[in-house]
Amino acid sequence: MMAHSDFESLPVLGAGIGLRKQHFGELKKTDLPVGWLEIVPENFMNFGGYPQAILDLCAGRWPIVSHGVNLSIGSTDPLNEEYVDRLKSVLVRTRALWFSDHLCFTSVGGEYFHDLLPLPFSHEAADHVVSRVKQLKKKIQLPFLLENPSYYVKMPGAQMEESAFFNKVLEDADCGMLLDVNNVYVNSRNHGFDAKEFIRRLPLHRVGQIHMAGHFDRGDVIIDTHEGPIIDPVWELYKFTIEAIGRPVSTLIEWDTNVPALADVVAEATHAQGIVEQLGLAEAVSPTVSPYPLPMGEGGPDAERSGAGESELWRLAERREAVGV
Amino acid sequence: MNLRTFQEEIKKLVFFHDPEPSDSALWGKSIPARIGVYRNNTRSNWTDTLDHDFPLTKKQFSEEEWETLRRRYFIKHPPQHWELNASMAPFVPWLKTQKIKSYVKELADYEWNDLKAFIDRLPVRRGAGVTNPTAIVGVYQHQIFYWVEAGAPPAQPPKQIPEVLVFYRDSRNSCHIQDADPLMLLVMDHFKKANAQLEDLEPVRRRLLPGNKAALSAVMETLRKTDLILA
Repeated sequence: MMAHSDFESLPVLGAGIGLRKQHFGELKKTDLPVGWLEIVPENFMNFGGYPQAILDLCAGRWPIVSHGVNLSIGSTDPLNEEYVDRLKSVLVRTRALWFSDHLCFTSVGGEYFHDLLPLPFSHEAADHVVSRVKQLKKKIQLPFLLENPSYYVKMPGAQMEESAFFNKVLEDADCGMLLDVNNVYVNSRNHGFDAKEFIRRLPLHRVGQIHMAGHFDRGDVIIDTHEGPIIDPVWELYKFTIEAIGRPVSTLIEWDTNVPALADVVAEATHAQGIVEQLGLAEAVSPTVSPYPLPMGEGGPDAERSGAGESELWRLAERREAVGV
Repeated sequence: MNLRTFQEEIKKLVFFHDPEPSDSALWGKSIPARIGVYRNNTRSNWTDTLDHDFPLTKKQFSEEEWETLRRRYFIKHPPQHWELNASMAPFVPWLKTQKIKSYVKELADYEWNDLKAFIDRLPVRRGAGVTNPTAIVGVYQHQIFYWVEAGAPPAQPPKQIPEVLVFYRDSRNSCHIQDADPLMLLVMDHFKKANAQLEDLEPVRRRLLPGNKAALSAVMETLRKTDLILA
């Protein structure tokens, strides 16, 4: 069992990057300063073979944290037991230090959006999420963080502001917060509020991780696409956030659309770390002690596919990758 | 409106429907235009995955035909799995019920088996003494493999010659597709059982394949080398 509330026990990892399939090859041999990796567990929970082997290799080299997209913590469906079991397996296998997902719903009636849908900022929704987080924490005894998602429509039925909604859920569920600074910026632009004031109202003592990313400005709406370099106003908001929190927080660069070379993503992470250092808040990276033992290896990621023509008897088809892997 | 009803209402607005809803219990006739962002994200995540998992099947249709087919499929089968590729599992059975060319149905089955072998969660470990757990046997009435090798050109359909293929992943995570003959299938079936012995297979082979005189040990050796039998 965790001795403290989730957010109190988290190590500070510096700046890291998301593990994406576009970088599998580069990661196998890189000497770039990749501090730590965040995985999207759904990209591994249902797959064996090459993706699993890559995950094992990465987990053997870097600290891993997990950021899910389909826990559907706000859904009125029962918590998906199979999903939770599979998630736990990945967390154990990678010796993940903590795990997170979004304060939203992604499924209802057993059917999945495969997108993050906002909840109404209501007492019913908050209480519902709190009970589900408590249920989850009984099954997975690892620090859990909830992220503020971007949202494009204010859902009817709100009884409080978003920041109050977050405060209520996190306090009542006693879990940590993954503060997505880009999402705050996107939401502030789309809904016309003061991003800094919003951040001041959040339970900043609970922030255990920060997300930074690029986005797409369509003109009528800004969409959280995780593409392109992070723009200056979002960096400025990041600096403000770190100052407001008053301590360094593990920061992760998300880049999911038009993913560039590994070096470009690592450069964004280095920039984030530089801001923390400029503020005089950088400290030695914490030792990363996972509550899970070292996993049993299942062989290295030798090859995605072998060459054709090994034998006249044997035919080989070109393999493609599964979406998301 | 309670949370459950709210979520069902959002689903009505975002999932594929025919016709699309023009009003909502949440907003009446004034559905916010930005609901379109969710509609677009959700639907393109589904359709992109289908396109990605069945690239050659897609190629057999015009753009308009494929879009209509996809839409009808997702109206009938919205994703019921938390993983996108797994959500496409009902596509092949559904496609088999559609009035389309039989070799296109076989092509979709081929593409799905190919993907399944790649992502199968079961570990492939040499020395397990059993048939490779990722192996899938596909039986086709057309020569799908060679057609796929040629890029599955729509203007040149596959020959109507039956073929039996085995899709599998080896212990080095490479994926293969190969012809299967009856003796090979017999050996693979035999070694699905734990502690199976090759000598126990000889009387079965004599009974089921009386005309087959190939040396079992040679077949076994080939299957071992290729990781179809994990000895």
